[in-house]
Amino acid sequence: MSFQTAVGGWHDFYILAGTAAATLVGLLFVGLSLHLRVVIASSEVRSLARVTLANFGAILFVALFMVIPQDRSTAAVELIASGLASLIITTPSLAAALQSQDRTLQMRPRDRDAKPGRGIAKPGPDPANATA
Amino acid sequence: MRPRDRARLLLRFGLSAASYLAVTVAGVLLFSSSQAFTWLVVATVVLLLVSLRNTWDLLVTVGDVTLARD
Repeated sequence: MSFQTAVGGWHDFYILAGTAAATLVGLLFVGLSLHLRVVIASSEVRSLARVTLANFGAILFVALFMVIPQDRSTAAVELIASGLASLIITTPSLAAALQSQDRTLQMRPRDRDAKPGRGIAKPGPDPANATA
Repeated sequence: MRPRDRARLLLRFGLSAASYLAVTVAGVLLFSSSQAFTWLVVATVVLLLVSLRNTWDLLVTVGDVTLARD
């Protein structure tokens, strides 16, 4: 099977993955822009944002490279380059996260752990079990 | 840092790094075999899932901090 035929079978998948990545990158930019002060103030938030943007960027570029009509060796070189570039971008964030002793970034706390003032309200007593 | 937090961090950042490695391996495999497509699809799906989770956590964290300030 030729390379073009093999890639053609995955064409729709990469179109869809690239579209999803581009859309989510835009949404992430909008969401972070609304809280830019927090993003600038916290290095851990910046690290997580950098890794997430690098993830979406990697998906986008992989999808682009697989959709471009080109020969096998060019696509291979582009994939290697995009993988290595993404690794280089995110390695400092990974190293910093592993060396960090404190944990200021709330890693998706469960609702039962939520405290007042952190934006998630505790549920009140169940009215069905309330005694008069 | 507690072991649980460290494991969570490793999952968050380590899966991304592993996916980048998988993309690189797929590029190397593309020179010789057609197995590269399997590696590439797995890496793409894992990257999408990790990114979605990261995005959600990021927005929740930033929103929490903003609400606490207000």
